[in-house]
Amino acid sequence: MQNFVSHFKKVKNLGASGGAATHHFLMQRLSAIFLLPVVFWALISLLCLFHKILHGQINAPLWDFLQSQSLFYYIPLILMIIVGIYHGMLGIQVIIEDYIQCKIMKHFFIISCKLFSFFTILIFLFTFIL
Amino acid sequence: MTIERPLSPHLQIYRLPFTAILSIAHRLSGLFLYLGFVFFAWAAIMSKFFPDCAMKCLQCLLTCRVTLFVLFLWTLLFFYHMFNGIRHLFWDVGLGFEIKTANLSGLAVVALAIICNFLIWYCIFY
Repeated sequence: MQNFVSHFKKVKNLGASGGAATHHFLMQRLSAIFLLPVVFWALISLLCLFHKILHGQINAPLWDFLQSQSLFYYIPLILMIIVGIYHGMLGIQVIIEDYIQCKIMKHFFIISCKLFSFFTILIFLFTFIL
Repeated sequence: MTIERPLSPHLQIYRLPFTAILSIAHRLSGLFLYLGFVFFAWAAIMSKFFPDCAMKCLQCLLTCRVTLFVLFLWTLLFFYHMFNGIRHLFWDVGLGFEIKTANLSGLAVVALAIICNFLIWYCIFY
């Protein structure tokens, strides 16, 4: 039966963090894979927007022009920023864990980074729902 | 209960071969990309709640050459982090660990990042 169990299952929940580390690893990879196509789509939509702005197809102020564009231009950008901040938060947690040795400072920085990231994502989402 | 865990290899201790430079560059670029994303998120939030002020700031920023240069470097970091991230994903499934392959893929990542960056800026302006 062991032959059919994946390597990931074998290491899951081992280690001192009680599963948090494996979960962190998995989420970082999943968000990275998710970001790849989203980034591709976002680049295309950004290029389209820039092209319209720079080649004078707009006859309204920039702000009105941006608001009048289809939602398809903004969906990848919104997704990219939200998932990007989440992915970056996980990465910065690793950097802090590696380079700050004082336990209190380490946890202080990790918790404040996470709070700031989730706060930013929440308000960012809120502005688009409104 | 405290567990003494081994520390990560620090920068001042080991010599930095090519792959190690790429590795630390991956981290640094990730840090700057995070800051950039946070900036864009807050810029979007501000432009929703204070549209006039945000538009003025945006015009000031976009007419300044330094901003364009920073943006150019930021997209370079972006492409570098993306391609190097794909390289890391290959490592996660156990492919490409040989020293020769790692060096070659590292070179490919740097070349691809530079080419893509010039291509995207060319596409924006022409």
